Amino acid sequence: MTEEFNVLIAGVGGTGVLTIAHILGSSALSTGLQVVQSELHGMSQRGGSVSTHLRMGTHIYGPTFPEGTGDLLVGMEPIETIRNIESVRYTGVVVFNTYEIRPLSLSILKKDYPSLDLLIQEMKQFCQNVYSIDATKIAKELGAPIVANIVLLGAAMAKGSIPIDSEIVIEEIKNTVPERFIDLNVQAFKTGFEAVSKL
Amino acid sequence: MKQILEDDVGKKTLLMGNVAIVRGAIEAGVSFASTYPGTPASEIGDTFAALSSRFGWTGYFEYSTNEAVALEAAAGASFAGVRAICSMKHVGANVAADPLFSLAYTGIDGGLVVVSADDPSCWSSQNEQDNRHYAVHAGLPMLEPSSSQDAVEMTRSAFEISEKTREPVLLRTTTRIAHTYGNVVLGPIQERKTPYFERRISRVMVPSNARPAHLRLLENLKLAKELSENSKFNKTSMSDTELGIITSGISYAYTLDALRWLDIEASILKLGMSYPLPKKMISNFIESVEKVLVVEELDPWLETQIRAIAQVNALNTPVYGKEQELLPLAFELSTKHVALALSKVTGKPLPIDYTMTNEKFETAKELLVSRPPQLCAGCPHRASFYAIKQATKGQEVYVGNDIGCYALGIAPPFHLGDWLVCMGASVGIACGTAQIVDNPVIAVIGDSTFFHAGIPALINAVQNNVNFTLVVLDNLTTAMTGHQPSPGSKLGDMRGTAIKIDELVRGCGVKDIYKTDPYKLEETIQIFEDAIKQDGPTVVIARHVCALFLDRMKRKKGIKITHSRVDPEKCEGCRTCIDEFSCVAFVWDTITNQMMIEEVLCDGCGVCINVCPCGAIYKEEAKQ
Ligand code: SF4
Ligand code: SF4
Ligand code: SF4
Repeated sequence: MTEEFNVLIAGVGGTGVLTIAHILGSSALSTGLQVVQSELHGMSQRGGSVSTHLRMGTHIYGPTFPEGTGDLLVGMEPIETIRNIESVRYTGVVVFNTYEIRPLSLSILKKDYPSLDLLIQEMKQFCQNVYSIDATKIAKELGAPIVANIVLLGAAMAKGSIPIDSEIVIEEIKNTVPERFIDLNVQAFKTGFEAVSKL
Repeated sequence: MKQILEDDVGKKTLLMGNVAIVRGAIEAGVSFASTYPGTPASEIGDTFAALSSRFGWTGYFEYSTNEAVALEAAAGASFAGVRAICSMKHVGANVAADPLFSLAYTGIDGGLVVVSADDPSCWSSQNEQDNRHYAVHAGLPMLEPSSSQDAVEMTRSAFEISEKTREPVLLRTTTRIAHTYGNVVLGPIQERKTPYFERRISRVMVPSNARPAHLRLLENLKLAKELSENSKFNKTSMSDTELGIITSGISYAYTLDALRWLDIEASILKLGMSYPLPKKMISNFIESVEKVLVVEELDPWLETQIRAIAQVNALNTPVYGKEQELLPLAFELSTKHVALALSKVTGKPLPIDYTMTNEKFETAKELLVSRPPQLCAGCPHRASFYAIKQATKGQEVYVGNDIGCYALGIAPPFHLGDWLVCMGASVGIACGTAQIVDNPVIAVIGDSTFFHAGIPALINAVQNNVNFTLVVLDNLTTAMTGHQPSPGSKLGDMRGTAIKIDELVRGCGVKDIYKTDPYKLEETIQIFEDAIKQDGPTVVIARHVCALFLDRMKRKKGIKITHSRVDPEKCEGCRTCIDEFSCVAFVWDTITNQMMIEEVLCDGCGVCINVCPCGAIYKEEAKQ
């Protein structure tokens, strides 16, 4: 069994970062692993950067892990991904959503959002396995931009080497979302999973 | 949520630390719970609230007006013979300190547990005070969980310790315990106690009773020390005796990770019941190892006491910690901090050379744009702040801000906040400033904070005829901490009557009271102009429901949100909207030099329509 698997999930407050952490956390519990997942609330949640450490394995204690020891970085937004890029080890994996949520400060400073190529190039300095997906676009095509996080979760399951079976994650999605949204979310997960599988 | 009430002994589940505390209290047969919401303690109250309103828990829960009242109410239940728990954030304990200290003298009947959730690194607070000092200062037995499992077990035991010692017990957590999910095995649920009210003169703290009460407290603490020496929460695990580590709370978890990371063996003394300290146990531990490292967050609280224990027992074992600057005095610890300290003590290097990665990060940093917390799209406070700015254009006004979402008004473009100190201080400090300066003085405070601590200061302003304007930003809820009910509104569950702020303010003696809906910009600007001009204390109540609360409700009910858009034909790129209103949904298009609205974020409040001088912003539906 995995001794320690460290995930950092980052994004913008209110875009479902914590939801995917909770789904993965309960899936790890169902898998029989120790789980620790740490998050911040209150002031830190109001549309600002958010990140949560999710750790699973047989030897897990601390709520967070040191930079450079992450196995997987899941980014809901490009700038937030690069903000946390130090968390992941070089041989780990980065899976991120390319959809930009422009920080207001860019508009105030009349600055451009950094180009995707440049961002990926920087990410590759820190981690050799970088996968990108426009999860928000896919979610919009499914009719609900709000499920972008679940699309990204699918992609992370496909590429992230997470020590959990996808079927278990699908079960946890079903347990988590309101009944009338189950089909939509399961479809979002599968679409995300397949979208990166070919890469 | 349902599982918190289930008598499902041995079931394994994943619980957030705060929720684990609730489970522990339920297992202990708690009858009464009270709180004033504050991050990172909020979910304790919210879980009790949900259990009683939706899951049939028959115990009593209340959101109290402030922490002092919450603690007094819990003490009242304890005096009536049942087990009670009262939770608060660390600075809430300052508000509750008055009853807290005297309750240590009166003693309790039903077990009374006081939860203080501290916030090292000030993630959501005005300071990072270390509330372990309260245990010593007031004289309260203290428990410090290191995990969610600990939180369940320690809360359960805290009630027993409280009844045995007849003292309130302090359960001290920190953000990383409170907001971390971890594995938990559920235990059996005990019966609730039958109420009894014994009339005791020992609870009447007049001087003649207070003196013997202090002696009684000292006796009770002696018993607590015996309990601590034998507590299952104080545990020694002997391994290599070259290094012994003494630690508690979340620092224990970091210590285990750091030892594994560096591949070091060390003996550990984990202090779960950290006040009164098990002095014999500590002295034996110090004696059995060659050197000691004390690992703790914030103040050298353990370290100082441990040095004293070593001195009293004439032990020469070197003790390392903050004194040698091996660990920081400010902000939360991490596995890396502990690993660095271990590395210095043992000479074993960290597995990662961070100087290399830091260099690499320098270039990545250039791509980073900061994304501080923001008022939500559609937030009524943004409209109020815009109106205050417009109404005071060209004047030097001094503005006191307060604790809540609206504290974000200190940021650009509003810069409304010349002081922000603690709950209610916007008003109290305004009372002093306005008596000295001639400039207009304004205090802005949310509805819940006003009820919590603003009222006495307003009365002071009336009594002393302070020339200032109080703005009550009434969003009908306690938004910041997760939308708990506010005494002024019927949103959420309330047993009693909603209190009308205007009537309350009138009752405080204020004559000039203005009411407005901040979404109506023009009217609100006029009202601020009038109120600020008026002599003496004036009050503006700006009332509009919290946008996030409303959006969530709409989403739940499947009501569609109609966004606003910018008409590129009409937008002249004047940037008035961005420079003066700065809604988070605004995006500046650097190619066309025009404004756009990000529809994923826009909540369709429509307030920006009246900010644009060119009439370029419109509601989506209007165009169809
Ligand atoms: S939660 Fe409500 S009050 Fe707080 S910033 Fe958002 S909209 Fe404003
Ligand atoms: S205020 Fe109106 S015209 Fe000026 S930039 Fe904004 S939308 Fe365009
Ligand atoms: S309508 Fe305007 S002010 Fe309101 S949320 Fe949308 S962009 Fe922001």
